[in-house]
Amino acid sequence: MTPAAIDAWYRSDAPPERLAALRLLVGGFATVYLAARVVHLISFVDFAPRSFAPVGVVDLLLGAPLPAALVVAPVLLALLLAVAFTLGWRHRVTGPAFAATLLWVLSYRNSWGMIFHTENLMVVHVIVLGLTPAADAWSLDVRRRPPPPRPRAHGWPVRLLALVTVATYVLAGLAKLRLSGLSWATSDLLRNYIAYDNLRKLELGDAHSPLGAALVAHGWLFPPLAGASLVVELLAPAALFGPRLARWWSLAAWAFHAGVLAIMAIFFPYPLLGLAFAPLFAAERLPLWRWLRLSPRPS
Amino acid sequence: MAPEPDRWRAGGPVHAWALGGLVLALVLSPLCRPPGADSFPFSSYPMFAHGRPTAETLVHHLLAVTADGARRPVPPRLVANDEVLQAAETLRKAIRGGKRPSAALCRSVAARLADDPAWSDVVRLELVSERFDAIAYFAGDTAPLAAPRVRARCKVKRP
Repeated sequence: MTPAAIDAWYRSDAPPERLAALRLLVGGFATVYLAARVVHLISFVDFAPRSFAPVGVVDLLLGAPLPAALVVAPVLLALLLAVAFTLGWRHRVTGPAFAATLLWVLSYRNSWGMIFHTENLMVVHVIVLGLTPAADAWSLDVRRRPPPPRPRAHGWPVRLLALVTVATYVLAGLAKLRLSGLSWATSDLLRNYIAYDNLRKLELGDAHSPLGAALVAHGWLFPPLAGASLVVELLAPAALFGPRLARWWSLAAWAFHAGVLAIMAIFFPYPLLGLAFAPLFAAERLPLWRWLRLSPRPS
Repeated sequence: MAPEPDRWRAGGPVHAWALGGLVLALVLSPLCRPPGADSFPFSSYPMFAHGRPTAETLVHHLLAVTADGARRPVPPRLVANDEVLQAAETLRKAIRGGKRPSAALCRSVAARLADDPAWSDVVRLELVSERFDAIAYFAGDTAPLAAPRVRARCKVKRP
């Protein structure tokens, strides 16, 4: 493939409504997520300083936990900016500001000895959307002042979002191979992990998966399940080769997350609600937009 | 074909390749770190990758003990917050820190629990480490593999 062909693929044209639809979907999800998690996000004000283990940007900037006011304020600011980002209000300012604030708030939440992996993809998607012309359609900015024509400016951010999704799954697959090798898919590693995870939840007084607890008695089930999840992760780049493969891969990856929910009681909302996979499709064609009167009804 | 925008404009080719290159380099950067290294948001996603070679499982938990000696686990929201993994990490860290942090955590949870009417029958807390066979556990054998190790004990003081 020549550099020109790669450039043509990466910077292929797409309607501004596709990128705008992704802004609305990802921004809407982030807004609801932050609103639902406010209490959780500010719960760290009560944590013992010895539990502080900064990661990412927090590690770069902080050596000790913040006072309570400086924990609460960014959470509230992120919530306000999430609304502005979703509505596409002054996107050139609120887009980057929301990306930075969300990155800070969620990095701080992950800086207490436990790194969760449910928000990584959402944050990177918000960063991409916040730093690209994602409010050139279906936004308050457009109502205020129509944007200048920007040919080939709206396809590559969608490609980049899709590349990020694909890369995260490949990384997860490679992590299994790097840490456990092929034995991850040929031994009892997954079965023991599911038993351990459910037992730990039960003994810690939390909800566990009765299905997972029942299935661990059947050892033969787990190598095929582990192998299938590894294949789905490593074959993620196939989703970039056209809508048909994107559909099949997204369905398989969604089923993988549904399986994790069913047998481990771990909820990954971003992929389970389809948002992780939305950049692989023509998101502007969702019936939701007609219902919201953003796109015209078909005649 | 539509004319190419100014190279440096928002959405133009320089923006596209600079941002795309930077974001993808950061997303893929965990491949340059040792296996299992983790960060946020640029992670290698090692959470399930280790698996577990055996079913033997060490659990640290806080048990609420009533006057008649009955025990039940204190839920994550009273230990740390609503995330069970955060609670597990809080308990692990306190135990690793030794007797003083373990006792301090026990007392702080006891103070939270004292205000909660749902826990009015509880007289003391015990921070305990227990080892189980996780496969046998779900086959009905819920007994720990060895005697529980009590790391801290504290009373629930009510006004």
